[in-house]
Amino acid sequence: MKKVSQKSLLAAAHNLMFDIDEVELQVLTEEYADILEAIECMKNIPNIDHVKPMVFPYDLVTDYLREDVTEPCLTQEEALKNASKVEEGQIVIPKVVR
Amino acid sequence: MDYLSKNIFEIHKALVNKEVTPLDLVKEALEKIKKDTNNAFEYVYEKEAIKLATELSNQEVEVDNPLWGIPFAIKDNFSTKDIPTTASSRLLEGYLPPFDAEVYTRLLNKKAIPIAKTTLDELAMGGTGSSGHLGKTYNPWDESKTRMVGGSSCGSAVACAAGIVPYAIGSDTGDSVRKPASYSALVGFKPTWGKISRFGLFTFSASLDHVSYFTKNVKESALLLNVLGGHDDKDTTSSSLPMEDYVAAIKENKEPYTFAVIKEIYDDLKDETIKKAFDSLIEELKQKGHKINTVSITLPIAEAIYPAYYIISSAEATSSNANLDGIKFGTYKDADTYEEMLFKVRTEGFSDRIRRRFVIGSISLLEENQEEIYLRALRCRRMIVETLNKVLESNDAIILPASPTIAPLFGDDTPKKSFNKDADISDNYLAFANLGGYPSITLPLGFESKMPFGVNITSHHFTESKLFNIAQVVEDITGLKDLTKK
Repeated sequence: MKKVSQKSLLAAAHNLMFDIDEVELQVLTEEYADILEAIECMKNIPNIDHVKPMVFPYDLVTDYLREDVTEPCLTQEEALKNASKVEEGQIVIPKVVR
Repeated sequence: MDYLSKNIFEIHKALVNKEVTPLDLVKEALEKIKKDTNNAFEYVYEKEAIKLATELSNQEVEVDNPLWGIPFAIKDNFSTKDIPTTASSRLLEGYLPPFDAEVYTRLLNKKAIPIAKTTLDELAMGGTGSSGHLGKTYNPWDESKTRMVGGSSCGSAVACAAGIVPYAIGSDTGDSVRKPASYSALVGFKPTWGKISRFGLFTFSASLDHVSYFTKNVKESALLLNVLGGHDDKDTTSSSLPMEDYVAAIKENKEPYTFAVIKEIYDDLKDETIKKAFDSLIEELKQKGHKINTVSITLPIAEAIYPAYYIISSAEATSSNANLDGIKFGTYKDADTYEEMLFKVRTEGFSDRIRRRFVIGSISLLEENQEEIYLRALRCRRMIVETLNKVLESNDAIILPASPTIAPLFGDDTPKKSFNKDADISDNYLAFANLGGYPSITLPLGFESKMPFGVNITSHHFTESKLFNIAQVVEDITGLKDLTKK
């Protein structure tokens, strides 16, 4: 199992658009090492790498389709109510293209 | 008069007999909330509850509707229209959802009275009831205020255990209702995955999340499933299988059941008081004609439950919380650039524990790690679930202590790992019912140093009716029901 460097963990945090300080990074590094160890232990389960991954708890049976009709949705006012900066019916954020 | 420490059926009877009105109940709940010192509440419906209760107090009691006019509490990760909903995260402070969660709607339709939104571990990720933005939530059974009530549904557990409401809604992704129930002498129930709509529940881990709840006895638990269960078009994972009357299905003369005790989990127990209480229960079950099988799921499978749960839930959480950016809702932070703004919102908005969990989830999903971490956890899930399916095909239920200890003491506040590779199997096995989506119920089993501990029973998919009957057998043996800490 390949180890992950602190640099990679920090890069992952930055990709997730947040920062972590040195103390957190140390805890995260230890935590991650523990997870890698647990993953190694999973290899002890016979045949583990030959079974199909299970995404949901059981095979989902979806046997209905909703009618293709217009249903009520949020008004513009409702949709914008929780945004902190709104101008002319649009949410204001810092300029993306400069 | 203390009505809210009674069970739902007793309170309903008092309403029908006109001993008490919904307004009296609301006033009692508000008074208790004011006096409560366990740090359980995010938002109290003071004006709204009094208004609704006043209206109901001028109407006839619906005699066939046991929830009518009775206050309830709901975890703050359920959307409640125009009522502040934070999931106990700084990032969501001030958020007013524009719609109601389906379970909340169903309770409102029954004219139940929402009295409070309850606190939780941030975004429902955690088991200590201490990681939310309000800090530690205390166990009502521990007057020294040193023990947790457990999480993540800590506030709902307190609300019910302290007799503030007779029932409280929570959510359970790993054991977030069933473990706190063990620590607070409550009945904690989670249904089969798909049985109760999750529309409006903040997603933590879509394949593991369940709407769950606390009550004080088994019959109340069955009653709530009657109200909350059943198909919902708004939840694509909602089952279309028919509902039953789960209260009526609890029979007086019950058939003998076959119970499985999983050897690897039982053998991991160290607390002699809990072991002894569990052994006594098993003996009594045998004496009443029930059959007990000790079964092995093998140590590698038992040891894999917690890491598989942790990896899958973290990976799903990373994805499902990517929308928390403070732009459309939540706490916005001004900055010069878009990136800076997102960094500020998400760094200051999430606690360190949540950020670490997202990183772990994200790393496990990277292309170079996916096979070895995330997909292995999913393969492991299949092995665990197929093993448990076999156990549940030849037994009516799995029975085990719900926790290997009484409620733990809080540690200090230094950052700690949320994943502990040395954690006891018996302390983390309850997540098997989330990995498999099985119905699972925790009931009070006994007390040690005046602190409660529980027993858990898990059955096969969509066998809630049988599970409630089995749980009733156990409740009748222990005699432990309708417990509150006054």
